[in-house]
Amino acid sequence: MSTVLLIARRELRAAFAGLYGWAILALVLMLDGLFFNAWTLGSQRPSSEVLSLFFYTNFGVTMAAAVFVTMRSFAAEREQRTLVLLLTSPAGDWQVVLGKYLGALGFVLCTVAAAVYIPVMVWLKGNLEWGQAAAGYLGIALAAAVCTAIGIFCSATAPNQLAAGVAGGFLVTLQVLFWLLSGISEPPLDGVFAAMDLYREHFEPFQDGAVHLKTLVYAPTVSFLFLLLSVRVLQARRWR
Amino acid sequence: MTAIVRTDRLSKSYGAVTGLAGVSFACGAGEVVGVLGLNGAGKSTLLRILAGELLPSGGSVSIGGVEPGDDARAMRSRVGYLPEEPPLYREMRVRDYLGFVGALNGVARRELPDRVAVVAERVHIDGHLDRVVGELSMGYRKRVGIAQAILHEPDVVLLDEPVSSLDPAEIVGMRELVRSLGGRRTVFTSSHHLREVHETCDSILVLHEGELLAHGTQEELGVLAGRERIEVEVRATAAEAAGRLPAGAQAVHSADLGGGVSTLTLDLRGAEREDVAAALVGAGFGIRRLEPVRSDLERVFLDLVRGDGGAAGAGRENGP
Repeated sequence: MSTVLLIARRELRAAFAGLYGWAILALVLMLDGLFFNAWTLGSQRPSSEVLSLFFYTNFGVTMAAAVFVTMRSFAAEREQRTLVLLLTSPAGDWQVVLGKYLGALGFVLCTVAAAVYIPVMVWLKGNLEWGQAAAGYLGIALAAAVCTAIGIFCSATAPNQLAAGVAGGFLVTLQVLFWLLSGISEPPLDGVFAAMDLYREHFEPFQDGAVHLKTLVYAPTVSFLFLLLSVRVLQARRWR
Repeated sequence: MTAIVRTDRLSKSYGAVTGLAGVSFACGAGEVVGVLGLNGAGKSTLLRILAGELLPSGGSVSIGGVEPGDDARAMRSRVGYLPEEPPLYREMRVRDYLGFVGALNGVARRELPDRVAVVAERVHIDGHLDRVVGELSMGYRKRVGIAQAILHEPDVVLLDEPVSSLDPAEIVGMRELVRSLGGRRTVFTSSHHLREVHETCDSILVLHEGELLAHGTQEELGVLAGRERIEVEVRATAAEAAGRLPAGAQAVHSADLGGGVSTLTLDLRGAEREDVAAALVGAGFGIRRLEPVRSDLERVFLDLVRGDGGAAGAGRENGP
């Protein structure tokens, strides 16, 4: 576990060491602020609706942040030829993938935490439901976990950062478009697609304050699946 | 010899392309081994397999008796590896970078500061520990790369083209550093610079198109290449002496020293020293001196890769 945390810590520090991480953080704060300003400030919406709208926009922004952060993860190391340092160390492939995943997820959650001033404003100026806030943040964390795992997989697979970003963006977008597929599919596929949809099926209830057990199972399962695939990609590289 | 590194019919394929084909050798503890070969000969592939970055397509490899199939992580922990491009995180300070690599390789946290200080002094970067890696010259980056490779005190150190991209002064420093790494640990160093191998290595592996052409000391390789060079000082003019040489002895250089004395440098290809001596004495020329000339590695290497040499692996214990 110490090796996993060692790699995760380095990933997190590297994200804040360059302009790239700060640029993502600034973009996240700008988008969160702009959406909050455009949709809720000056309106006479109840606090619960304001908070729900905040989580709705924060969900989308966090997904994008996860893709932008993880596209560098393995792909940048390959381009800079530093991945060999990890692959020739005694660290196992699982430790490398998990370390990179936790580092990236840590950064994504930092961007989520940076926008916490918005719920604080709702609390100061309105009537904040603590349960809804906790559920919303739990949902964001679960969605971030899924999107970060998808991004890590794409970064491990793609030949460069751009390809990793495009692939990650596509797969993450697909996760929120499964409900469209479910709408045009016949049973039992419609149920399968609906169950795979990240937003409508899994996250939307959280932004309104409802915690669903199926999502608590779905998010770790999908994350594990993509991390497992990432490990397999690393192992395959040794055989190529 | 107790072999610390051993390969047996080691092979690696990249699709239809052969990286290594049936390479077998064994190297002892403390040896400095040069890996020579033209571009695409399989030098980097061999080092990457020894480092555990790649797994072989066939055959076996072991470091200290541990094979990747048994315990890949244990095998990797016995190896320090510097690829041609040092794997450096450019945004980190040298001290932090070495601390990270040390911890990654299992060095205890409380030992890290002392270990980093000792290794930094060893590779002469102790005055640069607080600099950002990206600001260092290529020579210092290579030194940091070597520091990360030896920080956890591995049994085997693998250096892929350690002098590439270095200026002449840095090359001299790197040569001394590589030489100093031997003795306590086995060092493999690949290079295009034959002089580096000549001056730093105890033995040499010659690879060509994925195959091991030869393994041995430079003298052993010279014999293997089918060529021995001698110098003869004889009481005759150079032209007279050259006209009496036996078949299989070819004069590649000659000079008249005056007073009816000349020297000839001869390549022996099939002929023995005794044949030369007998032919010259038989012609009535007195021999004042006859001694072997150390083979020039460049000629030996070219002879081997052009196919003039003998079978692979001669001159050394090779394979299991």
